[in-house]
Amino acid sequence: MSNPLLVTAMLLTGAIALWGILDTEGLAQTADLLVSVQFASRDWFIMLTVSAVLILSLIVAVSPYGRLRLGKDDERPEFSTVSWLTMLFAAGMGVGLLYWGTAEPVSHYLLLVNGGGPEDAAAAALFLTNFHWGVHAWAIYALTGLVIAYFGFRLGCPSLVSAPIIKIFGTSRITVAAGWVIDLLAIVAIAIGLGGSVAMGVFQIKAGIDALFGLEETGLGLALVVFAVLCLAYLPPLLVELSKGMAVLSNAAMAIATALLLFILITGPTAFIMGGVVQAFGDYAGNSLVHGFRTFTFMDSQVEDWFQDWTLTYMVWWLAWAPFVGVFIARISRGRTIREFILGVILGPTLFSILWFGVFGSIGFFAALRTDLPILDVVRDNVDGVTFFVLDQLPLAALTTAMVVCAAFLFLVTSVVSASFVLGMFSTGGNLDPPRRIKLVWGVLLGALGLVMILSGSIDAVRSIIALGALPFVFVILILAVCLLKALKREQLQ
Amino acid sequence: MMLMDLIDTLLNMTVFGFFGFLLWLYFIETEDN
Repeated sequence: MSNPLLVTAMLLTGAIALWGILDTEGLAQTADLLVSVQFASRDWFIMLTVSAVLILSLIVAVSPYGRLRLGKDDERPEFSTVSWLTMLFAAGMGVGLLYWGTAEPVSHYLLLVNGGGPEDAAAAALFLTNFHWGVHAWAIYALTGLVIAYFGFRLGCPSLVSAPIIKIFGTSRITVAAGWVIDLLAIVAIAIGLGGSVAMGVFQIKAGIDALFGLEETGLGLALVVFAVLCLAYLPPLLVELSKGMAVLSNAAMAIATALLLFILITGPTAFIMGGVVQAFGDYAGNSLVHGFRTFTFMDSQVEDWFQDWTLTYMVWWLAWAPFVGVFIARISRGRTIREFILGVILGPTLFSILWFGVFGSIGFFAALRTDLPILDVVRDNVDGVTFFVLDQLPLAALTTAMVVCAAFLFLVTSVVSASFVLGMFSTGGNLDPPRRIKLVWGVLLGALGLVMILSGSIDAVRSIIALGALPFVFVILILAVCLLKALKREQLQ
Repeated sequence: MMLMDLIDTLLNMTVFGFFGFLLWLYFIETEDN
C-alpha cells in the first residue's frame, strides 16, 4: 500500500462508516446540524453555482468552441446518436426515478395545497419536481463530464478530477496538494452518495416485497435481508471482468422502467396524464431558468425548511454524483463535438424525466384530486411504498410491483459495480483497469456506507449525510470550470 | 451568538471572495504543462 491517496480515502470513508454503525443516531444528527447551518447561510452560493454552471455550459455549447471535438479532430463518435442518448438516459435513470416518481410530486403537493387551490398546487408540485431533476442537474453532470472528456481525450490527461488542475496550473507544490485534496473529495463524495442510493433502493425493494406479500411491520429485519442479498449479487462481478454483462443488466433495468411508464400511460387515465405531461413541459420550459435563482429568502421558515430539504439537498446530491456520472458519460462520448455533448447531455435526459414525472406524478394527482384514495396519507406515512400504492390501483399489480423490485435491484447492482470501478480508478492515479483487490475493497466500503444509511432508518437522515459529503464539491466544480475555460482560450490561439 | 454570527458572516464573505479567486485564476498567466 504505497498509495497515500488510496489509503487516506479508504480510511476516511471507513471511519465514517464505522462511526455510523457504532452511533447511527449521532452521525445522522451531526450531519443534519452541519448541513442545516451551511444550507441556511450558503443557499445563495449553491443556487448561484448551479445556475452559473448551466448558463456557462450553454454559452460554451453555442460558442465557436462548440465545434471542437472531444478527441482528435478526425475522430468520430463510437456510438450512434440514438444509442448514445439511450445510454445517457440509463445513467440518469437510477433508482431515484423509481423511488420518487410519484412520491416527490405528491410530497410537494402536500405543502403547496395549504397555500392555494389544489389544481395550482398540483401544477406547481410537478414543476418543482421537474426543476430538481432537470437541466440544472444535468448541467452539473455535463460540465464535469465535459472537463473529464476534454482533458482526457483531447489533451491526453489521465481520467482524474485533479488532472485538469495539474495540466493548467502546473506541478507546483500547491497545485499538486490541491489536486490531491480534490481527488480525495471526489472519492468521498461518490462513496457517500452511492451509499445513500443503496439505502434508498433497499428501502424501496423492502416496501415492494411488503406490498407483494401483504406483509406489515417488517421493519429493519427485512431491509437487512435485502441488503445481504444485494451484497451477494454485486461482489462476484467485482472479481471477474463483466463490463459487457453490466451494460446488459443496466439496459434490462431501463427496459423494465420504460415498460412501466408505458403501462401506466395506457392502463391509467391516459388523457389526464397526457394533459399533465404537456402542461408540465410548458411550465418547465418557461420558468426553469428564473427558478434556478430563487432562494426563498423572503418566505417563512416552513418554506425555508422545504427549500433546504428538497432543492438544496438535490443540488448537492447531483454534485456528489457528478464525478461518477461524469466519468461514465465522458467514456461514451469520445469523438462527439462539445456542442453535441452539452446539448445532448442537458436536454435529452431532461425531456425523458419530464415525461417520467409527468406520468407518475399525474397518476398520483389523479388519485388525490379525482378519487377518494388515501394517497396523501401514504405519502405522509410510508414514502417508500408510494410507487407500489399507485401500481396497486392498476391492473396486474403483482406483476408490476415485481417489475419495480427487479428494476430497483438491477439498478443498484450495476451502480455499485460501476462506482467501485470509478473509485478504484480515481484512487490508483487514473488506472483504467484498477486491480480487483482494490475494486473489492471499495465494494465492501460502499456496502458498509449503505448499511449505515439503512441503519439510520429514514430517507431524511440519508439525505443530510449525502449533502455533508458533497458540499465541498461545489467549490471543485467551479475550479474545474475555470480550468476548462483557460484550456479553451489556448485552443483558439493555436 | 454574536461570535457565531460573526463567523457566519466571515464565511459568507469568504465564499463570496471565492468568485474573485476564480476570476484571478482565470486571468493569471499559466503555462501549459
